[in-house]
Amino acid sequence: MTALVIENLEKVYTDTYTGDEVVAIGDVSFGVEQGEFVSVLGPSGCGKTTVLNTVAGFVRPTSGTVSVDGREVGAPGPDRGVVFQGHALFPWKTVLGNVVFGLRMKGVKRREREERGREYLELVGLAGFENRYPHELSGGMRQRLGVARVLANEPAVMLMDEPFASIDAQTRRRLQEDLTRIFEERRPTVFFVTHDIDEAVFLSDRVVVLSQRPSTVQEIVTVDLPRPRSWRTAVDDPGFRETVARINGLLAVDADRGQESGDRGPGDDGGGTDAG
Amino acid sequence: MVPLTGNTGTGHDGTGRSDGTARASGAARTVRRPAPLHRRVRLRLTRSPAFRTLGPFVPVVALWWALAESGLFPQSFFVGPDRVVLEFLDLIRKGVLPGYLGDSLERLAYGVGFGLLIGLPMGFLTAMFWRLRKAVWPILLFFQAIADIAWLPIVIVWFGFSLTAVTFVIVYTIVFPLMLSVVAGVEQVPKELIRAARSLGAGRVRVFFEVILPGALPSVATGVRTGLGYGWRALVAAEIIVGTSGIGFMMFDARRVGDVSQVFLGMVVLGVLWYMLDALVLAPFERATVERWGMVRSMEGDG
Repeated sequence: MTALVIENLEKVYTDTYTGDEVVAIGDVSFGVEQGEFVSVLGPSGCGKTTVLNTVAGFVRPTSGTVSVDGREVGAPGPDRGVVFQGHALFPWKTVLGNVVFGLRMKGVKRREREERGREYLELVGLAGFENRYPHELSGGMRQRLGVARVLANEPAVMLMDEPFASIDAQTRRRLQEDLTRIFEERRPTVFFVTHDIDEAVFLSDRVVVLSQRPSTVQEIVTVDLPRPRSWRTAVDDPGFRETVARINGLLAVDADRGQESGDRGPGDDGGGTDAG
Repeated sequence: MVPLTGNTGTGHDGTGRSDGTARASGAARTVRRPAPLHRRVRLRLTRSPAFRTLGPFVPVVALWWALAESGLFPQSFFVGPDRVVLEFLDLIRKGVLPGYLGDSLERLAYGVGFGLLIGLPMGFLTAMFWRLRKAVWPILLFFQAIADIAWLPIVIVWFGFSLTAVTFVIVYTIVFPLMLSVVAGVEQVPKELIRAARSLGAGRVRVFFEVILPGALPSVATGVRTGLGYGWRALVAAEIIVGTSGIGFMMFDARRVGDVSQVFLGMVVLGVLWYMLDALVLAPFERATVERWGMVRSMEGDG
């Protein structure tokens, strides 16, 4: 079953100062199957975060539709939980308070939601930190909490917006391995935005490669890497390296083409959530 | 307390999968030795709350006393702390000071109470509704510019020399800075937090109570603090002009009869009261909320 369908998505921004129109997303269509991990990859400023923000309901598309579980998406909702690059945890809530936030909004009873909250904290390796506040956690732990907060809500799709981009390289690897383990255990549907090719290939079942702005789907690459995955085996896997090289090639060709056709306007994802 | 021996550096960074391996191995290389006695004594002393509260005043009072004793100024102009303490005991015994203090605090309580009651909701309304803000903002700035004391003449015409007049002035001084800081606080709430709450299933009302209200708290707390400070000053000013009782009245009345020590006493009382209000109400509130949550850096902590 297809959990998320994006059809002919287009987004045009009007520059409020000059009045110029900037086409952020040209024409993007693809789907994410239930229990599938799909990454969206593209050069910076290609509008991939805008695609995510549209799916999340933060940004309205100019044309085209996004549907989740067969229903068209409008405003943000609990069926599409978001893990943000800047973690966006509630600083005034404890770790447990953050995890159960969604369940509380749903009206789940205290005992049940705390039980489920603890279960998800355990899953992401944060058991024992229930009563800490987010500022007392390390960057990696904050992102784990961000993931737990979304998963505890059991959304139809988990949207992840470059969640590991502002984390140091070693911790990032560990987080990627943990995310893979969690994915393999629970099989949530994941829509993951990144600019890191290795990360996209390592985590995903399929990688959607976007072109430069105005973005279109350049190619969808299927990753044939056996699960369970770990970095130690992945780096030696010829299939992994081949896929990385192929995507690298796709992006390089696109970058050359982009340079020939000149500058296409301000190089920002436009959604405003890029800053970490 | 001062950790003397043992490794207390394991802190909160040890996840099972240890995001903090680098730091842990760094700490293992540091050998801990007990600090020498004089340093321990100094640390113990400088960290005690009484020392931290009263310590900074010791040189100030000493200087004051020395200046008074030096005979540089005549006694009718400048009195030492000893005279002020005697005056304090005398006025307590006569019951004048407690009575005046009670009057002042009652006025302040009324003024602050109404000020918060009006300022907070108005601030949040202005902050939340974009159209309202556009309409109200210039008016806010206009009225903020009219000093509280500048209202006294007309307020006395309207309300006479009454509690209402004083309350009006205090409310006036509190409301505008409070509203401005509430608006600033709401604007400071990161957009991502609101988005996060929305995509976790919070509706607009829940977003307000769960995200915007606590998110604006650091700025609101600052606003309450400044508002109270302004109100406190306005109270004394109003009492000097309108008053028939109160600390401000006491000081001005004492000046009339040439009792400098009472004037000094009044000034000390004002300072001490504000300090107590801060130490007993404002600071604990901030420690329990915005500092606990790491939303502002605490003044005493290591951040």
